[in-house]
Amino acid sequence: MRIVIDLQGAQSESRFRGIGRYSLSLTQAILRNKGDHEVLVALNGMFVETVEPLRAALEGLIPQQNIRVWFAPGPVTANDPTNQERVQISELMRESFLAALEPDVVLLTSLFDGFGDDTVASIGQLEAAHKTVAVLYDLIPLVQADVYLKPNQIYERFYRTKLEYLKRADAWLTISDNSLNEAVEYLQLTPALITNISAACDPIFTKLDAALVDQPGLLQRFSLAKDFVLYSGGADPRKNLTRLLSVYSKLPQEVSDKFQLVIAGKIPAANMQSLRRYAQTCAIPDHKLVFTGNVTDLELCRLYNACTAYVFPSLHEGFGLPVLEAMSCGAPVIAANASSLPEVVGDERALFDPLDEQDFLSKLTRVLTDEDFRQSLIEQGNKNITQYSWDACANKALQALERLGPARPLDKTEINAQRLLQGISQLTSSLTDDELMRCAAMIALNQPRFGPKKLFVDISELARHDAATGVQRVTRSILFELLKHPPEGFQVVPVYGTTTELGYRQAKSFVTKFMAAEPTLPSGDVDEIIETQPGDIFLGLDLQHQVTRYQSPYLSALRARGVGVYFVVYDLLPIQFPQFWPCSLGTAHSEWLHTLAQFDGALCISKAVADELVQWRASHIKTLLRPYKIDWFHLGADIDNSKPSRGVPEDGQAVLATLSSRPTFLSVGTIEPRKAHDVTLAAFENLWSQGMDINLVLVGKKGWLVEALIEKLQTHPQRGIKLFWLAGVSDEYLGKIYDAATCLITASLGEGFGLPLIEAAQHNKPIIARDIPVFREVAGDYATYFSGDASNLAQTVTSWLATNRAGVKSLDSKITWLTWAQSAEQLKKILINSV
Amino acid sequence: MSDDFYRAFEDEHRGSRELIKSRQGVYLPFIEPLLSLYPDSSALDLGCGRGEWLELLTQIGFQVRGVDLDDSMLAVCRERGLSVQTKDAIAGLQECANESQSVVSGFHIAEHLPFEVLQVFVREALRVLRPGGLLILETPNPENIVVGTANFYLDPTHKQPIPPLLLSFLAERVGFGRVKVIRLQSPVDLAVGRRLTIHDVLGGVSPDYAIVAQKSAAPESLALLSRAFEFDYGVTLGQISGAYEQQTEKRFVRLEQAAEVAQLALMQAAEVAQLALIKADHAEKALHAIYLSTSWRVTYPLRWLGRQVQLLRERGIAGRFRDLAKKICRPLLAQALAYFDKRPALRARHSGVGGNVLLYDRLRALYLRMAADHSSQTNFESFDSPYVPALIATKPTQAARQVHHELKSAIERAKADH
Repeated sequence: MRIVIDLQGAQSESRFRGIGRYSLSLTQAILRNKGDHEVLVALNGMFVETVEPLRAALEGLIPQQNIRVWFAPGPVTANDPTNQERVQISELMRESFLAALEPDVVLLTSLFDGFGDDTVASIGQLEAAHKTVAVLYDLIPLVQADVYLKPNQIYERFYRTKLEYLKRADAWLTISDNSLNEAVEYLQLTPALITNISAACDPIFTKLDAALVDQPGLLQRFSLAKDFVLYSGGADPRKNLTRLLSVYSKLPQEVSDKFQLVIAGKIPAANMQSLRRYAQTCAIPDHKLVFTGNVTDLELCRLYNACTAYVFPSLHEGFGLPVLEAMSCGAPVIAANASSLPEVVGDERALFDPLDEQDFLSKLTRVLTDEDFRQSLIEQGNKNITQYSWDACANKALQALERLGPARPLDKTEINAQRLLQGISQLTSSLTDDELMRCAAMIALNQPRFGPKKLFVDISELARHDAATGVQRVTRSILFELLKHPPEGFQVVPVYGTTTELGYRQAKSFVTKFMAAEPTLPSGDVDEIIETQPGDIFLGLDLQHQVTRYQSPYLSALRARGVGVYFVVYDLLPIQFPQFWPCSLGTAHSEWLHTLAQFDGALCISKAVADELVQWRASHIKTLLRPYKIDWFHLGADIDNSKPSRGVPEDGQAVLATLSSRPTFLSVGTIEPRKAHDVTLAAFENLWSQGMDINLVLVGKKGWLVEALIEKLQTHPQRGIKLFWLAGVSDEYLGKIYDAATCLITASLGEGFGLPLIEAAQHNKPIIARDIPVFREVAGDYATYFSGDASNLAQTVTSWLATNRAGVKSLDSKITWLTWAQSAEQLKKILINSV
Repeated sequence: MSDDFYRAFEDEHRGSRELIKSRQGVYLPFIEPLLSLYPDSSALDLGCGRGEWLELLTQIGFQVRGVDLDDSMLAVCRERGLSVQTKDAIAGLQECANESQSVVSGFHIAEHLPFEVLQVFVREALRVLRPGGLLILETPNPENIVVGTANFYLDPTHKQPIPPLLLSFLAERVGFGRVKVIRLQSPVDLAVGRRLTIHDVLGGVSPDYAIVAQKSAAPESLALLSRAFEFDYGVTLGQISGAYEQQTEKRFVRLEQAAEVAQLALMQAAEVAQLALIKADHAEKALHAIYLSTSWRVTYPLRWLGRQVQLLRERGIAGRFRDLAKKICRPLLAQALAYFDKRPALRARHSGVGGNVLLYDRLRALYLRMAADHSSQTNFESFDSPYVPALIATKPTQAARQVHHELKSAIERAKADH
């Protein structure tokens, strides 16, 4: 069956309290024990900051795309009557969203939240096929209505509405027999439909080695003496703390001298003060009563381990988790003989009447003075805790859900959507058109998908204009392959964003032109804002620093929705070599990397870049809650497939003839500082001065920050004789130059990939390259490597010429290179495996 | 002081050439009509510095001449082919013939001159201007308190600040036909209506001002410049402090109202507690519960007040008001109203008839106003709000527009059915 867990209990204000921890632990255990059932988790989009932590908490237990975030118009806190209309609309929208997931059962973890936070929880406001099961923690406000309901009529109205919803559930899960009995007694629920699934405590609460207990300086930190009695939890009146103080003050002198009373946990300052005052009236010396304030779980665990006895005098509990926690840490526990506590404690001898001070006093005295009694309580506790585990709770819960059977054969999704609109139309009187639009946008987001998953390919730069840079050649080639052969089960949607408008638009008109297809759309059709669904993928293929940065809130939101957000990383060069670029490219690139490093992963164009990215992330990015994927693929090198340019200039034949006349070393790439053309030139000046009869040809247009070098090239004595600089060379001409050359040479200090190496191999030309990881990765043993400066390069060239003087071209190894189709295949594989 | 000092200082503190030129654009409405009066207009700029103004005038058709004592700055002018001389300002004026200039200007020069010299300067300017010609003197504005007390003295060659009233009076006294004070570059735009801070009062008045003084001429000549003279420029200290005062006043009134509401709510809480105590007489168990209830409720106002005092310390009065209204007062008011609504007799006692406004009416009015405030606050401009996730902060998608259309039709149908 399909189960949807509404996990708002771990999102709302309750997330700071027991209900939050309970909801999450139970959900995790259900996911561990789900068997053949399909489980989805539904989250409230208004608690936007909780989505990522919860996705992280469920990572590995459930595919991220099965965590669904729904949206509804807020604020909806019920303590503000002006929210009423939004509350009603939101309830309908949530129920409609859940129904559209077509579950058999919805499990509700937090029906009673939403008074002071934006929880939306209702049952049966919209007719639906699925059944609903609610977790019932306690009915304390109803049982003690005079204390909790009467004083606050708005709260009472809210609570009683929730009780009506509760009654509409098809079955209920309680956390104790006591809560089960209260549900029957106070709400007349059918006992057969209620299951006590009990509770368990966090595994952090466990027995510690004695040496660990007081580390580091636990006792000192809270000003504790060696021996103390511990209470932990809240300070509501029902916790019965004044009676605890009173009883403590009546302990025999020799006992109270020995034991402090420690009240652990966050208690509001005002409560603490009034308890202190009350302690004074009982003549308890100040140093005997210790309030620890807020403690971490680990500190609390140590306190449980260190205490002589744990006392829990509460008058009313849903379960009484601290009792289990204390037992798990090996503390002897005495507790009130009230509400759920007897069943949780499981030992008659450990109970006292919380309203009878005499009984309470004698039990406390006994546990502190009678060591045999104390030991037997510890043993009993050890036995008791074995019954409680989250897996046990989850299995009981799953059995209860299974008993309900499949959904009623009722409705179809369209009918569900229809009902929602009708429902809202009955409610709204005062919504402005803006608010209506907002509701509509949210409803649209909440709607389920029909049709295939989508792979959104970001081509923001290419769609704006084709600058014909190296990156854009990649963007064009990969996009072309992806459009021709989409990953299985996916539709490829090219998109673009701007820096003026949030969101990405579908690049329809661009694609029509790009694929040179007949326009299938009427002209004037606007590119629509994209619509996404969990399980989709966003791939940042193009490099557009500003757009990515501007759109980062949108991309984060996509990720929260369950869309995988990945970026192609071409290189980290502007960060590694900021001096090689004008102005602030390094900063822009680093900001861009910081942005994309918050998403799901990066696909680098070589293993070398991937390694560099891993290293960079380690020192620049805080560990994320969810794993970040870094993988790599290689670029394609089938030039014919990316529309090569043609043409040979008039003097071309003459130049080619000169090149063929003596050994010619060829360097291909834009003239810019990183390529270290100055090193190559200096090496050849050295060789020429030794009288060596060799050519150096530089092919590449003028870049930046190389004025001095260009000047030198243009006025060089060897210019046109043994030194050639050819800019603006067509693909066809370049091919001929490769054929005329003897060897490719590259002194570049850093590259993302190194396409010229592959081009050289395609022309069967040997390579002399600087020894950097990416060249090793691309060319392997095929190339001859050098490191260091111009003199090293000159030496390498000399010795290379010596061994190859005969002009032998027998190359043992080969460079394997990919076509763009193969490159795109690699990319697809990484992406699809990520989801 | 080295020769280059002033150029370096100006580079650092007066801003780039382009910035200064764009600022000087404010004078164009005054200057341009003079060209129709005297197509062959000459202009003399005293203390011309890097020559931004000369360049601007040249571009619109003036023949210009500049004088300055700083050769390093004049070098910039000469590079740009501007006619300049290394000369004292007064000397530069004195060598001009009577009624020979359409414009005489001095940007940030008046504050460098002893007052006696400034008097000679203005008098000489009147002599050399043609009828209807303009004297423009720009200088730091001491009405801006930060400028008047501190920034003015950043330049060690400044003599004393000159208040706008003094400079305009001087021009009138010497015999100019009309004088206009132009306050420049105020960082505060009162029309925008954002929240003013004390910093705005101290530093938000125009940091510079100028007088534009026109030599008398025939009425039809003067009429050419009337529009420029009628317009009001910049922000005065009186305007900005007045606006600040008004804002503060409004906030205090709202705060007082909030305090009043809180007090009413406390009184009501006490009343509820008392009633509960009386009812509790009957059963011991009930007494126990109600005792707890009372202690909780009675300590509640204490806790609340304690928290408020702390927050007030942290966030200041102004910051607290909104929080107060949102978090405390509206729910409390709603509670108070609900309390009355359940007790018709009590409500009748506290409701006025006709124009007579009593407790209940005031509560109700306050509540409605706050509710209205609140709904107007829920506008959704920013996409970091939990209520406007980035996914709907975009322009509507096709699906969103479709749902919107269906929703609207559904609502219209529902209305028609009623």
